[in-house]
Amino acid sequence: MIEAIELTKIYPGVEALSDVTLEIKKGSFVGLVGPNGSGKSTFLKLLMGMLRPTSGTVTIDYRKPGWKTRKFTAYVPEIDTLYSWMRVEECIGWYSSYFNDWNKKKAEMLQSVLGIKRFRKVGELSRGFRARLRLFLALSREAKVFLLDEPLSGIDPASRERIEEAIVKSLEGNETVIFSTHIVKEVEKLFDSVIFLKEGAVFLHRDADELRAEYGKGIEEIFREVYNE
Amino acid sequence: MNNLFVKELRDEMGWIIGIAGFVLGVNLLMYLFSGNRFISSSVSLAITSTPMYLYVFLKSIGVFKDEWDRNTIYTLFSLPIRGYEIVLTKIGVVVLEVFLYYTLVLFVPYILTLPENPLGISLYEVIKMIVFFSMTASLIIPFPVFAYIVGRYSPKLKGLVTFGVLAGIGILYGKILPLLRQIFSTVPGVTISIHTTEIEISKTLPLDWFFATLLFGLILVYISSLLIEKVEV
Repeated sequence: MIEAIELTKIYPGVEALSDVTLEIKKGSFVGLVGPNGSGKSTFLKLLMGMLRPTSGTVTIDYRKPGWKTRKFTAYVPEIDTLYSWMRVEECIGWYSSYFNDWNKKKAEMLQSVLGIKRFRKVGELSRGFRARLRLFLALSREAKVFLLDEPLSGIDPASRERIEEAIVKSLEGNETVIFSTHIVKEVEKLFDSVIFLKEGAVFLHRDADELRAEYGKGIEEIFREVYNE
Repeated sequence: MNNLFVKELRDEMGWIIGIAGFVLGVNLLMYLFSGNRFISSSVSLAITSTPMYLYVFLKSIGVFKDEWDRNTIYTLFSLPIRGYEIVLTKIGVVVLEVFLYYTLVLFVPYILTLPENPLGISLYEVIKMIVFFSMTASLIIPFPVFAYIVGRYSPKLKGLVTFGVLAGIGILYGKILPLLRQIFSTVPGVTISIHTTEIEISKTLPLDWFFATLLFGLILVYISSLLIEKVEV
């Protein structure tokens, strides 16, 4: 479903991803973990076709990322990316009009779980609510691939719980999900497999249960050990 | 594409209202204080046209630059849309602003001076002028758009690259314009006539350079559409 072969991305003076080779199978929930600057966002942007590889290849459903793969790929960026002048309802209507896989029932369910306030302006929402809205827009789709870039970063505990609940309730199990995070504890139970990125390279890529059994501890503890936190 | 255009229009609403308010304000002042009421049109056109060309130039860059500055480019690039849809809708909204400007600049004085109509100008002539001036000003748009998109390919030097590309295509345009004009040399010009009891002006404006520049601009738009699909955010 998702394949990277010797994928390297170099920004001027910085090697963000270095020779990454990996394969992510269809229907798996993958935790992409690592500290800030380890290359998680770069990898997801490469999968969205928002960045071009310096060398190597990356494919999503056997296709190069681009406008065609965005038809079945839902992306939640880490930063605020919505039009602040739009009302929430307008934003939802506008965004959903581009996707045939928008599911109204799912949207209604997620609206109540995430507490989306439809009649306010996006710019008037708190950071936590804007994060919820970005997640709402992605999860309301029946996409084949979900790329979630640090959806818990900088979010208050109440919003985190809601976001976690929304993810669990909205996914049916046949979607491929890459969940990038440096906050592992609350979400590690969702992971089928985990990719540890360290300075742009894949340090570990294993089945989550195998990792737990081998190390005799949870992913959170392994994360601390790997990154010396 | 319609939804994208509506979004662009809503995004630009503040500027559209600003332009309308500015032109109507200038016209109103001229109308109230000018001895010869129809002079309002020529004076307001003269004092606002040069800034309009500058506005078109800056706005053509601004509609793209804003997306990057506000990080909304991530939203735009997460949609399954082609590069030409992004480029054409953004250019479309700037063209609309240009048309609005010239419509207000030329049509409002025409209405205000009715029924006297001291220059004896017909509605048809007014419409011809609106279309001609608007389209001429709109020809600027592809140049900064192309230069800015190319500039985005080198984020650290984008200002310099944009300026360099702009200079480059300006020189290229100057070089191949005579050649392109030959293609359209048989196209007749547009004649604008003003008849009064005292003066009679009939001016034919050549259209070969207009179509030559339009062709050059369309090529730039086409390349810009391809380039924006590969640009990094």
